[in-house]
Amino acid sequence: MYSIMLYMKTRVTFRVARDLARSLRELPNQTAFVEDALRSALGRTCPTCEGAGRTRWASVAVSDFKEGALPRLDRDGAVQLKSLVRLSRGLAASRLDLAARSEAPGFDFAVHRGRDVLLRGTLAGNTTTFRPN
Amino acid sequence: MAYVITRLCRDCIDTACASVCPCPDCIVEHRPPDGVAALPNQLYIRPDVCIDCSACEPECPWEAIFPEDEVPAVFAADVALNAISAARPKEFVEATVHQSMKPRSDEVDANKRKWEAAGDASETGVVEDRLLVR
Repeated sequence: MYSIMLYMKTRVTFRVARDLARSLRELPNQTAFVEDALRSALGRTCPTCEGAGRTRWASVAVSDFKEGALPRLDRDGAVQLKSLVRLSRGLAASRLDLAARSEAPGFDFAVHRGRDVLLRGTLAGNTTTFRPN
Repeated sequence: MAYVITRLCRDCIDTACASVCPCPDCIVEHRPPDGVAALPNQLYIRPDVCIDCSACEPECPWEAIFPEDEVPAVFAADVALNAISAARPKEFVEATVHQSMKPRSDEVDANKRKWEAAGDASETGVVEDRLLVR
């Protein structure tokens, strides 16, 4: 797959310090490495797709209530969670984790995209509160 | 494990369950691209999307929704019927939300008696035969 993609790329030659060239030759994926480094340095990598051109996750995986021993969801909570799931979809998130709050009703939530946490907050009754990450 | 919509839902036009379901594409209708609906006219829960939150269960005016491990034996075949929505997702669309007049309790009871009397070898068997042909 990757070798096919190589034909779609443009060859660029540039000079680097000898020690850097030595390190570069030892890399198994030189093109990808240099491309990532350049994109990162230029600050032009799309944060949603990470430069891939397509979002990586087709749907948002929401915590399973039974597996997570979470309390039953009431009507207001369900409507709030529905909005949160739709927001997570819009953010191309991969996971929405829910955890029961220990001293109050409702849930703490965290919206993830891969290893990044995009949003955190609390879902209680008919109110959703976001916390600075 | 997931929730299951049983045949008690058939021909109901109330989608209160879909209005509270937090997961898009979880409660679905059978709308195959060829327009030929081979499954009964009811809503289905995709077991691969359901998060077991239980929000839909009390909303159903016909009391048609059960946790998978609590589905009455007489409606056991409906578990497999719901699972079809996960196996062939392209034939299903997210249920449109619209409210209707709620049935009276005697109508709910009459509906239960009707389907319980029909037993497990009811319409579902015919549908499964049709599915095998596809």
